[in-house]
Amino acid sequence: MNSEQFVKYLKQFLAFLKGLGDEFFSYFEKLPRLEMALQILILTVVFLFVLTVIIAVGVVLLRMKNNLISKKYSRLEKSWEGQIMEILSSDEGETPSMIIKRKDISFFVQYLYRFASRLRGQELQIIKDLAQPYLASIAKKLKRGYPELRARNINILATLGFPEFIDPIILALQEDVPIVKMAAARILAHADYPEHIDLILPELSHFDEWSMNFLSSMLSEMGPPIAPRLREELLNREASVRVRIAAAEALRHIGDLAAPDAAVKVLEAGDDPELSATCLKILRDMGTHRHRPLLLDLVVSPEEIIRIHALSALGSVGLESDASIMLKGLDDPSSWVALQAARALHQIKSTQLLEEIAASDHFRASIAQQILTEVNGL
Amino acid sequence: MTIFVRLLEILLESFNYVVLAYFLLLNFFYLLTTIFAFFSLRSYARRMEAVDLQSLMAKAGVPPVTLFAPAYNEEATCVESIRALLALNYPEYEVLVINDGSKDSTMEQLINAFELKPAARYKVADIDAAAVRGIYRSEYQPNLWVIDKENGGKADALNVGINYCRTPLFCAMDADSILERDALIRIVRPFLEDAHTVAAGGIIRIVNDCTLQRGTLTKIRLPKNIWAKFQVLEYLRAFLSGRMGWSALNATLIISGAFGMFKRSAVVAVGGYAHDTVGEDMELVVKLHRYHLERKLPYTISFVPDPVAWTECPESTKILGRQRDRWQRGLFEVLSRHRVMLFNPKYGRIGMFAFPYFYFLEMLGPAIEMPGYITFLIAVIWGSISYTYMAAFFVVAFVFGVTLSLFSVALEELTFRRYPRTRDLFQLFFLAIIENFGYRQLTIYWRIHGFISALRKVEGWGKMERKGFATAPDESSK
Repeated sequence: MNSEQFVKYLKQFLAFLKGLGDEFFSYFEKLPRLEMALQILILTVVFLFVLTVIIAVGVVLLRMKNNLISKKYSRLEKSWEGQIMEILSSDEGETPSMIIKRKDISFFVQYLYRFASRLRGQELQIIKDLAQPYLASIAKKLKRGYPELRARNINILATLGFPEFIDPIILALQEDVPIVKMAAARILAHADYPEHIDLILPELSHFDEWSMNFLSSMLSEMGPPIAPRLREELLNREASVRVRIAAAEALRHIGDLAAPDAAVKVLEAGDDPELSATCLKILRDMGTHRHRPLLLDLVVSPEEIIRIHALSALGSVGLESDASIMLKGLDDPSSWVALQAARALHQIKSTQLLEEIAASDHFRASIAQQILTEVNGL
Repeated sequence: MTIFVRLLEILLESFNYVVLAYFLLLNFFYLLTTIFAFFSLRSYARRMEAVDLQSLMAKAGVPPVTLFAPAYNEEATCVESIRALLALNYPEYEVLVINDGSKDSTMEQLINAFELKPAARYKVADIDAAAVRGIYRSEYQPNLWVIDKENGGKADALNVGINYCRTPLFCAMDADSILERDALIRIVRPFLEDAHTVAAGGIIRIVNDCTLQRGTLTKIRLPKNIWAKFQVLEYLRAFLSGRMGWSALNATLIISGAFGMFKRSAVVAVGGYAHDTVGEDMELVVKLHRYHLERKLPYTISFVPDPVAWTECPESTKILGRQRDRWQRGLFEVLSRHRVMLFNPKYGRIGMFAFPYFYFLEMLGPAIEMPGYITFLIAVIWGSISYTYMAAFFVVAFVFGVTLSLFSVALEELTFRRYPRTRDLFQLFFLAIIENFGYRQLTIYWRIHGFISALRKVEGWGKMERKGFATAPDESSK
């Protein structure tokens, strides 16, 4: 059929529809008002009734279908479980393959994926070998289907086909769909592949909506080899604040000993308060006495978040002689700052001072009591 | 006299048009939210297939949370509920039970069951609340704290919880509700995936006649009591069609007080829960919308359909009536207080869409619907509307109601399938039909009652009696 014919048929069809519509409406136009309303109501009832019946029948059929599927899969799972257990417990060097019907492949791979999450080492390798013949079809599905299914397939490939199927996962990282991109990033952020950091970092700014904890813990999964690259990113003033915070948090999780120097540089530059707070957490965890002067400056910062974290860091690197600073912190209008000051007092071994405050009528006495309870137990 | 009769006729006819418009609008909104809920739930179910909750917990850096369980005269259920809370599947959380000056043995039961000892804990916020009598911590469950305070109502108890909350997120719930083991990780997920999330609500399901074992539901079934059965259907409609639909439209205005997760700093910024309303849960959400929209701050408030809190519902018309009366009063108080948002473009889709819906159709609805029945009847007797017309109108209303209810059952069957017995499914169908003959009219009556109570500024919650959970014998203790 050529395009002219198609247009002709389309016009005829539209004209037919218009005719039907005109007839329908002219029928109602001819009716008296009340009669028309009544007929519309009756038509609505008929329509809704048919719809209701369809929904009810649909629900029943859906329940029957779900029950059948559930029965079928529990039967299949039972038989697969028996075979897999036999393979896992046998001493044969090579993993035998399992014959799976074409229509059950997707479910079989998903079953192996769930099974694999409970296993490690040699047993996991056997499961991966069992899945191997079917993974190519899963890899093909990364390019089509709805995003959630693609994300799930990325997870399956990562568990059962990593690193063999790394290329399609790298491609998925370049996608625009956030859930697919994030699934790929989480897989690529792997301790055995620190070089992936150069793939992931440029994409981090696309994860603006994800929580910072999520991003930083993903980066820290890659371990110490990525620390130099993260320090670079932390010091890069061209990078977004969120990316720099994620890098700083990841450095802290990793326990990078060179991170405090980078953190000091950021703190001296007086960047964003949240970024500064993250750098102060680095000093709290890995700082030394030499960071004291900087911290003493920051405990009087106008930003509450900086005072909190500066006091927290001072608690871990400070000296007993810093007690007066902490006592001032206890008087801070912010209770979070006061709480941190009391904790810091305990950390620099000024527990006696804390006990005196707890027993006094100091307006922060209850904070001191709480810290003492936390330390000494009930 | 003729002029008077004519005037009456015009009034009657006009009011009937108002009722008709109300009916059409209300059902348009129901249909709209149901359609949106369908697409949203379908997408959500797929999304959950792609999420590995265990990996999320292990690797995603989930934030620590505090669970608030305000308890007032909860001696029947508090120990069992708290045990369930302590068994949740989440890496780092505290349970903060706030005993709101209970007059029964709630406090004694908690002290004995969890070996509570006095402990110091400092307030980190200063939201106005009743005096704290004592703070306790469990000797063998270090993440369980109990705050004993003077009675001040649920909002007051929650504010005390906020004052003592040390985590970035808190979960507000009822002490008598049972959270499913994965409920926390599921409700925290929006906070991980969208850093602007300030609140997320979970789904409430009815626990009556379900069986509980060691804090976990082992047998789920429909309640035996007919009023409780009606409420199961009602909750399915309200949550799966209503809240899911509104959430898909980015216009969530209610997060149930029985289960919601909030960003602590955002709630402190808006001054916590309001003491002077019985709708403090809705008030908080409206206040959060207002605060962020007025300051043009990015934020998200969402509904998550699979973290479940199981709760006991009333089984007598007396208690159910009180509950509905309170809900309607709460709605009235909240919407009246924030009337400035009504049709105010400054508040975006909340002001122009969600707020007007709740204001005119949910709050004023019963005041139109009930007189509507009466004037309709008068108009028929008067002869200005034919019997046939009236019958056809009611049949449309009835069939439409059944369709929407069945759609909610279909949504449940498509997604979560929590009622595995086929008998329960057919019961839900049957309930969708028979609820139109009496139950719906009763709820309208209770809502009108609540509306009048709100106009008369009646205060208080009304007593809620609990029968406690059905527990299966603990096999491990044999």
